[in-house]
Amino acid sequence: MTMMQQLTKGFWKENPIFVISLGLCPTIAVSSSMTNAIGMGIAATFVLIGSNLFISLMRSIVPDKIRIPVFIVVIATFVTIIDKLIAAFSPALSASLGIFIPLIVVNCIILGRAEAFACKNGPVDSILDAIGMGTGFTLALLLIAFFRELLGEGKLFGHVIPFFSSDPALIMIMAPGGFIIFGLLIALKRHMDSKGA
Amino acid sequence: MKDMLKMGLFLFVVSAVAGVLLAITESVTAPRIAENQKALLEQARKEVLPQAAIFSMNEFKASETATAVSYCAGFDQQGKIAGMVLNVYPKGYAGAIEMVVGLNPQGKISGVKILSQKETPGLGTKLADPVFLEPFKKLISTKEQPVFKVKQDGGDVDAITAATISSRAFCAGIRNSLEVFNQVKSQLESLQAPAPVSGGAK
Repeated sequence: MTMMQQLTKGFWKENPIFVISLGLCPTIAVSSSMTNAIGMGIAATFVLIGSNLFISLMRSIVPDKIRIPVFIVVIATFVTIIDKLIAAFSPALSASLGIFIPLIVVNCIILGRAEAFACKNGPVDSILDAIGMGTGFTLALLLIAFFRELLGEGKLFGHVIPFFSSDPALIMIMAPGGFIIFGLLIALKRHMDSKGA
Repeated sequence: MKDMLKMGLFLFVVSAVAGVLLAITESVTAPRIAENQKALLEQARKEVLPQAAIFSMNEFKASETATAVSYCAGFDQQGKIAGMVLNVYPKGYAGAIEMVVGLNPQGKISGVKILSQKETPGLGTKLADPVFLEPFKKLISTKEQPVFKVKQDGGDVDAITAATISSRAFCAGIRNSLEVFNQVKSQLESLQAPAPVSGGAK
């Protein structure tokens, strides 16, 4: 696989949400608005880059049998340190991204990429993989949030959209609406893939 | 057996390093985080009680045995009492709503701000939006003795559509702060402004 492919595979072909289907809990939780989707996407991408790099550098010294507990300790420590540093030194950023960081600890994309990729590949490839997967995650969140915010609130990024705002379907911004949109989008992606094959 | 020991030792070292790193981070960041939160609360207090320039924390006991009620008194530039600010935590739809309520010395509400909440996104979270707060501000500025209950319960407050529980919690928070005000009213008037030398606002 070339470096370019390493980077772009997460965007669509191996999208962490629509194809690998990891990290669905935070996905449903934050995809009710585009603003939240961007915040979560950026926060998760940064953590993913850091954790992939760490794991990749450590991969040769970690005994195979205990790699999962080691990864969990490394990732949880890393996320907690970032969370504290942001809260202490950038309260404004913390106010907008802070609520997503505890959600990242339970985001299995991070551990999933550590286990499936970073522990078998070098640091450069691992960073590319992290950027790609992070971007793919962000794009997927934005796509789901676009439909949920538009149909559920009649807004996009908090701005009122005429016509849609007259009588929005409240269910769309609640969890059931998230599942409905998510299911339809997966179906659409699979349909497009099967046409191409 | 030797393998087990080796792995155990490795895990031990990793956890120990993680623990040390976390301890260092905590000791560096904890004071700053506390400071940031205090600044946030300070700002909220100024917002809900704009007449006040200096704030001081006070406690009030109705009797020797009663549990103390703590509140924050606000003073204007001349050191005259300008009102009080209360933190109330009414139970909302999905957990406590942290509200800051400002009251003037006559017990009229001068401002309300939601600090944190766990209400349903897009429904109950509208409590913090102008869509709910603006009509509420209008109500407290126009009506002499508003009844702080939602309209369904016979009050004067317009509830948010599809978020009656959150709206009720908001009203409960307001009523709660009025109760506290009535309790500490007598003490409030006799309070002296703290000397500004001490940095004042706490």
